[in-house]
Amino acid sequence: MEIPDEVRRELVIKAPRERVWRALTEADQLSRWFPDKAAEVDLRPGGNAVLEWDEAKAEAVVDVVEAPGRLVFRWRPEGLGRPFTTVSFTLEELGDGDSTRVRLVESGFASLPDQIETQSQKGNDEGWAHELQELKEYLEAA
Amino acid sequence: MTGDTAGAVFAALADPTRRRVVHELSKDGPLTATQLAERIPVSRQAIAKHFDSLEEAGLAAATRVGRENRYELRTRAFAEAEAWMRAIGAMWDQRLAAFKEFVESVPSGPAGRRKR
Repeated sequence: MEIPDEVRRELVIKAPRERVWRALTEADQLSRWFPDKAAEVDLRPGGNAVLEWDEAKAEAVVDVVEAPGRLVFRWRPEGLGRPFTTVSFTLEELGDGDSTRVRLVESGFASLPDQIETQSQKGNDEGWAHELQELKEYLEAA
Repeated sequence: MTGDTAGAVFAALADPTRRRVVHELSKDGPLTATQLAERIPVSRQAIAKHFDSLEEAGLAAATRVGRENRYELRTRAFAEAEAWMRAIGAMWDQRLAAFKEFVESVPSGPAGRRKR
């Protein structure tokens, strides 16, 4: 019995990789499909990003920027107060460049409690549960 | 599905030894602490302690058999945590569909493609 510690998705977008990359990384384009309110992106390793929905907000820290092929960030949905799961986007050029394969992996769900345990000695299960609940609400509101 | 259950499950599974315990129990359970200690390189006492965390998270249960506890997995908590992961997956499905729709809605003929 195993619980997956990550979410994996793959899709093909009928557009050149450069175009997909811009939609993924430029704040004005990102806000057209991801958060419904606003996005700010400081696109460099260590840079901060903020995604804002009507009822939720997420802060992210950019880890890897390899234009136009790979973007990795850790994100902290509101209330979690520390780096959370890691989200990785990989863009692969297909055929003659008219299409792009997008791979998404969000990982680290089961490893987060380690971080929490070091910060709060007791009741960390409860704290984690609370934070997960917040994440869930945030995800469902998004 | 409740976030509380999923949270306790992920917290319990954050530890590699506990993941190992779960793995062994799912393969060959129910097992006693002695049997688990033979398979996993930690003491019987440590196994018992890890097992308490799994039990608190609702992932496993112990039955007294003679002088020893027999440990086995409970599936419900796993199902809830899995459902929670599925909810996150479903959210990405929605986002990625919006991503695809947005990118493909902007024409990118040969000229547009080479623009940048």
